[in-house]
Order: sequence, then C-alpha cells, then structure tokens
Amino acid sequence: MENVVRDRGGSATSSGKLLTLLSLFVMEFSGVREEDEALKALTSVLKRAVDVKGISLLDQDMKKVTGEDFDVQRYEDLMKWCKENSVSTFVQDGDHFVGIVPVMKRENLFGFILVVLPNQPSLEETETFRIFSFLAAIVLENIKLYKSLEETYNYVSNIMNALPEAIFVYGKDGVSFRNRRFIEANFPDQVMRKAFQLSEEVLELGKARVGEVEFEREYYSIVSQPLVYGERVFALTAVANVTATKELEKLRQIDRMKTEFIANISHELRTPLAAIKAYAETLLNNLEELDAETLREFVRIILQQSDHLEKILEELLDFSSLERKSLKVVKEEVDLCSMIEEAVDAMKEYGASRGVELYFEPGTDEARVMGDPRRLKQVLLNLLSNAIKYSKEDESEKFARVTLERNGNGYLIAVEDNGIGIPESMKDKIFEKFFRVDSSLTYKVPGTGLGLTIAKEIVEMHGGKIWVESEEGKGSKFFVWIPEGHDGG
Amino acid sequence: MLEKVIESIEKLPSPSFVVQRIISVCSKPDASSEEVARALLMDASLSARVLRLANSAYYGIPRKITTLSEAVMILGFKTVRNIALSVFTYDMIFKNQESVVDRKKLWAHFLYTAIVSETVAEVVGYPLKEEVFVAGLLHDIGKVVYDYVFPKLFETMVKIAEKGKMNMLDVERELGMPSHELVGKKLLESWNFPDLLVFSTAHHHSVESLSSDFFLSQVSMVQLGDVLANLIARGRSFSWGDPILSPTAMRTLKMKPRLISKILERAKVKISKAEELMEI
Repeated sequence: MENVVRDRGGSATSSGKLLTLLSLFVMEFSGVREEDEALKALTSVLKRAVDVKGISLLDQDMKKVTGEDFDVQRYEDLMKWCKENSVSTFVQDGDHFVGIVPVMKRENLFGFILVVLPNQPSLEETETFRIFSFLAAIVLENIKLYKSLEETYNYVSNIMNALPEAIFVYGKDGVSFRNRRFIEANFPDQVMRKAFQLSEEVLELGKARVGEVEFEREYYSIVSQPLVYGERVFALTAVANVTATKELEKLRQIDRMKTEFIANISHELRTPLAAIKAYAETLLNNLEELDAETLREFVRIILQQSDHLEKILEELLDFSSLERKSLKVVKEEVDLCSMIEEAVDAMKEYGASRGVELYFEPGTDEARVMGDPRRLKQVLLNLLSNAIKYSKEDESEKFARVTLERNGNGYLIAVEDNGIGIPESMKDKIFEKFFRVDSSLTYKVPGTGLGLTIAKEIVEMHGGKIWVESEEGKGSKFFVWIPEGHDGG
Repeated sequence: MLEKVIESIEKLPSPSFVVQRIISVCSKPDASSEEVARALLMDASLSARVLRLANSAYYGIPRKITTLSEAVMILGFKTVRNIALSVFTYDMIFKNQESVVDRKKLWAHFLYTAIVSETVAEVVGYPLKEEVFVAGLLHDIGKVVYDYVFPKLFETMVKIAEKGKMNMLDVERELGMPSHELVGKKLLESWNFPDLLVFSTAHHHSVESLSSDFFLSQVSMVQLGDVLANLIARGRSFSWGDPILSPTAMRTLKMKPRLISKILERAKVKISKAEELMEI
C-alpha cells in the first residue's frame, strides 16, 4: 500500500500552499464588512489559487453580482442540485470546464461562484473551491448576524430615542447610555447633580429613587430605578421638565377653586338676602300689629344685612378690578394711628358678638405714610374680621390685638389673635385668590375667600409687604409693613 | 483469541490493487479525474457498477453521467472513491461462503451508518463529509471478520444478542472475545487504511477513550450515526440492546435534541433514495 493513503493533509508542499492561501484569505477578509465585499474577496483568493479563465459571482437567486457573463440557464439544473446537496460540481462544456460552487453554510445559501477552467480540475483545486467557499460562507453568515444585530440595536435605539422621556443609564463607570431626548434636553447642572446623586443611591440600595428639583422657576422630576443586566447593576434614570404639568395642575386647582367660589359666593349672597326678604315680608304683612320697638329692630336688621350685602358686592367689585388690573389707590397723607383706631372701633361690635375683645397698642405716637386711607382701612378691617371669624370657640379669653411700630423706613402693623391658626402647609396659599383654609363647602365660616387676596394687592400697591406667622391651634399673627412714602401704584 | 483472529486476517479478502489505487489517487492533490477514471477502468466490472451507482437516485444528478471521468468531476473525487469502497465492502461481506447470518441486514447497517454519519457531518457543518461517510461505512468491519473467522460462533452470538436483547459488544465481552472494535481496527491497520477509519472503527462505542483529539469530532459523528442508524432500522447491526448515545460525542458535537431530529429526518429521506445501493 502506498504511504500517501495514510497522509492526513497531503504533501508538505500542498500544505504549505494551503497555508499561503489561508493567509491570503485572512488578509482579503479582514476588512470585509459587506456581503458583496466578502464574495469579491473570495473570488480574488480563488483566482490566485486556481488557474481560471473566467469567474462570476451570482446571488442566491442566480442573478449575477459581479464577474463575467454566463449563460446561467445552461447550469441551472446543476446549481439547484448543488444547493440541495451542499456540494460543488464540475462539468465539461466544449473545450473548457465549468465549476459550480455554492457558497453555503449548513442550509444557508449566500450565492454561487461559477468558474471557467481551461483544464480538468485536480483534486486539490476542487477541494480549494470547496474549503474557501465554506470559509467565505462563515464570514458571510457572521456579516449577516452582525447586520441583524446592528438592525436590532438600531431598532431599539430608535425606540429609546423616540421616547418622550429623557433617559440615561448610569453604572459604576459612569453614564453608559443616553437617549437623544436626554442629549437634546441639556439639563442644568443643578438638575444633573441631583440625577446622578439619585442614580448613585439606586446602585447602592438597589431600590428605585425619585426626586424633584426646582431651578429658575422650572420644575424637574427625576425617577431612577435599578436595571439588572447579567451580573451588573445599572441605574435607569429618567429626567423630565414638569413645569408645564405643574402649571396645568395649578390651573386645574384654580378652576376647581372658582367653582367652589361661585358656590360659596351664592351662599354668601343668599344668607343676607333671605334675611332681608323675610323681615321685609313680615313688615309688609303685619305692619299694623308691630310695635315701634320691634319695627325699629326689624328695620335695623334689614339695614345691617344690606350693609353686609354691599360689603360683599364691594369685595367682588374690588376683586374684579384687581383681575382687570384696574384697582386704583388714591394717595394722600394718612395717619395710621387714627386709621387703626377707627377700624378697631368699627369692628368692636362684631367682635363683641363673637366674644372677641379687640385692642390697639400703638408703639409710636405718630405714623404718617402716603397712601389711600379707605383702602388701607379695608386691609385692616379684613384682618380684624378674619381674627374674629376664625376665633377658637372654646377659648375663654378670645382677643385680637393690633400693634403699630416704626420699622425701617416705614411702619409695621401686626394683627395678632389666639384663634384657630393656619396649618403650615396653607401659609403660602391663603393669599391666593378664592383660597379658604376650610375650602370644603361647609360654610361654617362665612366669607368670599377674596379678602386676603385683595389685602395683599392693596399692600403691594403701596410698596409694602404682608405676611403671616401662625401656629395651628394657637393663633395667627398677620404683619403689614407700609413704607413711609411711596410713589408708585 | 486475538492472535488467532489476527492470524486469520491475512486469509480475508483484501482490497484489490484497483481499490488501493483509487484510494491512493483520490488523496493525491494533483490527481485529475482522468487519472481516477484510468484506475477504475482496470476493473471493468467495478467501473460498470460505479457508473451505475453514480447515476442512481441516491445521488440524484439532474444529468446523465456517461463517463467515469465525468462522474469524478460532477460527484467529486471522494464520492467516487466512496462508491468504489462501498462496492468493495459489499463484495467482501457477500463473498463469504461459510457465512450463515443474514448479511443483507449487516450491509444495510453499514450503508445506513455511512449515510447517517454523513448527514451528521452536514448538519454540524463539517465540510469533509465524504470522509465521514467511509468512516461510517467501515465502522463495523470487525463483525465481518468474525463472520469469516468463526461463522458458526458468530451466528450463535447474533442469536444471543437478539434473544437477550443485548448489544453485540456485551455479547463479545461475556464470551471473553476481543471486541469487534478491536478486530476491525486490526484489519484496517493491516490494510494500511487512513487513520480516521482506523480510529472510528476502534472507538465507535468508546469515544471517550479515544487517544487522539484530532479525530474526536469525526469519530463522534460516526458514533451518533451508528446509534441513529440502529434506531432507524432495529437489529440490522445484530445489536439488540438499548442504543447508547455517548455523552462525550454529544458534547463534542454540541448536539441538541432539535439537531438530532433534523438529522433523523434528513437521513430518512436519503435512505429512501438509497434502494439501488442495497444490492450492488
């Protein structure tokens, strides 16, 4: 038996040639990224390995990609057979030989190579075609896989970029992904600091974290949650500018308050009206039978209720002009001391009816400012009326104390009571229009909810300030600061 | 016992000069199809049978092959060599005058194992599938040796295996005889056949003890081919025990149940076209 039978890979020279061809293959294929590039690289290697007269590259559907023109129809039957059996084949055609080499891996066909050879192919040549088309098929399959991977990645990135939320992924080595929305949003540093801080917390705790940042009148919400990818943990963080949402929320609240206001105001108007109507009817029907004392009492009530109605309507009118920015103040020299005295006197009776004692403790003899006396008195009346209205029923010594002192280049008026007080969360809101602490429709305490809004507007038109200190259940202290002389308004 | 078997090997029909010449030419890099054709033509009967088989439904070539040279070009050097080797193996099995076992069964198992092993190669993506075909074809050649050396004893062994639902390997072990793996190996070595064929014959039941990693994948393909061929046609190999899939082979080939069903499906289609190969 000849020794060559036991040879594993042919003679030394042929294995040397194979190594050269493999090196060429590696070189030709190392830069390949596209399918047709791979097929062209394959034909280039084959051309160098085998003496070919012509070579042509066909796609899966036997359409020419590159190379010489062939009468493909002549070989269609064999091409199909090659594809079905995953084999290459050679046939004599006239004075030359034609090789059909399918480029395929397992069942995946990537194309065909047709070669024209001047001579009968040797065993080595047929094997060369087979091995290199097989290698090319592996490269082609990888290109296909890479492309489908790339496609998947692009698809997912597109989804990520189309998200209305700005998101980024944060890991131990920093940010590993940001979507387009995030890049475009270009959030302020202050917001990003908070976002990174929350992301760090997520990495540490493995639990979702949320936060909110207010920066230059804009609101940002940050939501970060753990993202487990294999062994590693990341934080998936979404940042959103929620200013619009916040404003919408505010508008909705105002809308809600308006509805409540209308219900409230109807009630406010109906109460005195009903009283006036009832007393007037009684008068009309029983005029002869009523004695003078009763008559006087009835008419006094009617007048009192009419005053009340007038006051409500005035408040509404003020509010309406405030809304239209047409509230006017007419300035003249005002003595705050006497103005406060007048106001306290005017409210004394109402205070007495609720068991609330009113004091005025001036800390200065003279306090003159430029202002609208009627409007400033209105502010004080409103504060006093509130102090009486929101007195504590079970308090034994109910009071409302007014103080006045010089403060900076103006005067500070304080109205202090030991009433029900204002919850901490409501302090900012009581000056907003329509707002009432007991905004539920209980009508326990009468009022339009406009008084403090109007008061604030008036004080601000005088260049002053109004604020409150209060402890729920203990009492409130309203401060009004008015500058000595103010030109604006 | 082994010595006696080895002594008798010399009396067995060995590959003719023509077959040897074909094997040799078909592993020579610069061999041309003309050269293979010339070698075949030295045996007229072999040439006729090769040509007939080349045109058989099993290969399903869409054109009629009229010359041997054409057969080599279209089917490939290795396939034509395989056909010649199949004819030789077939003749070797059936030339035995003393034999009393059903040798058609044995030939079917040889052929099926060759076909299934080649299908395994295709499915796992091993390009030199023709080599796996021959390795599958010859893997049980040791049984043919037994049929020549101890025809009566071999018949008894076949009966024991069938009655006791045993594998032939276990029967051999119980009778204290060398395994058909070892006997086959000795025969192929004496014929100077390629290493792959020697190894796959010697280890088709014992992939894990294979000393050379170079052939591990190919021998694993034959192991799986053998088991699946036995599943397709029970008892053709004279083995009746439970077919045992080698974990080493499964691991080497990264085999999955889905792939095994694919192999079975494809192999069955091929076998259905292989009728002309059953009697050559």
